Amino acid sequence: MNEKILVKKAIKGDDEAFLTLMHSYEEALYRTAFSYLKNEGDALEAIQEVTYRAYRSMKTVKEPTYFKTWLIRIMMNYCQDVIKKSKREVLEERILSIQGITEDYTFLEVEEALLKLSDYERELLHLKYFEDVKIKDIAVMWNTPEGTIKTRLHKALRALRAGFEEKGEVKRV
Amino acid sequence: MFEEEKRNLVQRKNSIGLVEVSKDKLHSAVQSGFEKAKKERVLKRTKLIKRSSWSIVIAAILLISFITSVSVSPVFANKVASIPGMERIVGLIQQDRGLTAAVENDFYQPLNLSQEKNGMTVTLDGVIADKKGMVIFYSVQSKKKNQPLEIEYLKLMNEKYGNLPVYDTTFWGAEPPIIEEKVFSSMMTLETIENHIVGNSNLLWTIGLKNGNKVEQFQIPFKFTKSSVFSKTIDLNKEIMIEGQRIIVEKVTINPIRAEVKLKIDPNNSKKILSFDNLKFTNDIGDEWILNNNGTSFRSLDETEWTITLQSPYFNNSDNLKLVFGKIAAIDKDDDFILIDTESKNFLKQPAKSIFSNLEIENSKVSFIMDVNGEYNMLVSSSFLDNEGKEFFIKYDFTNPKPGEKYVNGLLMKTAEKGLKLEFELPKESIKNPLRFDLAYYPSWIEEDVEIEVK
Repeated sequence: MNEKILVKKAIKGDDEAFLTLMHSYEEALYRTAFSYLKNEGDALEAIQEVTYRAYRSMKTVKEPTYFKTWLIRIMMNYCQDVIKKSKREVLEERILSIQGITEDYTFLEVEEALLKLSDYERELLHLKYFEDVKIKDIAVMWNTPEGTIKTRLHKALRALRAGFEEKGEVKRV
Repeated sequence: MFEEEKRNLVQRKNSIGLVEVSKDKLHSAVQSGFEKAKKERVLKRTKLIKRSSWSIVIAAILLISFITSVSVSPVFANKVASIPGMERIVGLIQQDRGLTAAVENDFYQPLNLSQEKNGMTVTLDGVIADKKGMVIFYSVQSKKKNQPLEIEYLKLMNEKYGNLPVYDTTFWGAEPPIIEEKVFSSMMTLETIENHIVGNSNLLWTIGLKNGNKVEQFQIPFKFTKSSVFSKTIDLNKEIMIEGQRIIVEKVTINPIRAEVKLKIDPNNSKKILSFDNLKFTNDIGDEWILNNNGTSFRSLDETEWTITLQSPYFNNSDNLKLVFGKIAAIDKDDDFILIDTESKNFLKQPAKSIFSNLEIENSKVSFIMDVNGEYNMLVSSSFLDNEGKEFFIKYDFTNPKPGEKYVNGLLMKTAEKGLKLEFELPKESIKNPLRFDLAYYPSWIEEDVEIEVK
């Protein structure tokens, strides 16, 4: 069935439509959660919590076309809360523990640099370079002109670079 | 520009794309989130009653669901295996860390006293008692499968049928529970007024079951062993500020069944505090004791003193304990009421970003909608005042009228848009506009990371 129709049904309270949608996005949501939380248990818990929150707020979905980004928004909010609550050291430990998934040493650096960004900057980068959401759509989502989004995206990339460089300096000491 | 950064981000995405996870786990995570939401939807129904009734007492056992998969500690599992009838109780208390620990520490007193009448058997399974309160576990069994029974009343009296100085903090909300399972188990929670001790060890427990139009009464006398453990009282008198609102945490009293937090709210605060829904105890090993499942709270009349009941950290496996506040419902004092003019049919006053709407007045019936978006909390007080200060209470289906008060009939409905519609009749006697409702709850929050060391 067409996704848009499913979303409309789910908004009207059709549980089956809601579950079909959630199951079709569960894997994408898992990747999002994992990119923030870095371990399976927490990412699965995030899926559970986001399903719960999404169901609770289905009525607030204004535009069925943006249902997926709406879900991602809920997921990002949730993950940011979790990160704020957990201690920094714990997170770094997690990052180390998944290093095994990549041969690339820069992975750890990217993660650390991402942690230094503001929530907003991190969200922007996440939407653009992880979820591949078009700038045009990010603009709609945030109700902000495209030009502004582009500028902010640049700023976020600059902040990320600064994060790398800072790290580099520390190392040199 | 920033090619390297972009490349890094894409690479990162690809790496995470390689992480494997089982489809089954994903599927069941979605499923359990969905079930949680469904369950809460029903629970909210009962919460509504709490907000809308002025009676001290409230609500919510009925829907503690029967948990299918039970994960418990080995100690707890042993207790369950060794006490007859205990398995029925597991599902009832496993979300309450305090009660579970009380069972582990031998506070459960099995009774297994049954009475049978007309194909129905009522069993008093057992009690947990401390100096402050008692939890009574019971089961109802009907010979006929799916025979719908309703619990009409539950009472605990002393042997001479006298009333006890207890609050019943058990109860369900809008509708009494309908028992359709073959065996239905539930519990009743009682708390005494300060400095009283529950019962005199000889008590009479009574339940009224409605079968069709007939109410059958079951009475079971029982004895229990009085608890010898003392409350832990921790005087704190610590002042905290949350978004500029001053709150003093006076003391914490911990008994095996429940813990109680006493708060004092500065009357000069700019906001009126409406609810501490997220108050909890935590320790450094991640245990949490949240609001007692119905979140009983008592407030002094001027609303400056609050007593909030939480699950009990009496048996705490860590040597530290913190009180955490989380999000608090609060609203500017200038905004904490609504005014309705029945002549111009307008809200003369409502909060900024109001979720009140659709005021209609017809045939001396007033109605308006509260757009609560599925969080079915009652927003307004259970009474309104006219401009001369005459007070009228709204009598809903579930209201127990207080003698000496004036009532008008009212109705509370859910709307198709997940809102609540309140409808009430205008009093027959003359009234002066506008009518004022105080806000009892409003989705407006204050939040700051505040933690208090309890010990």
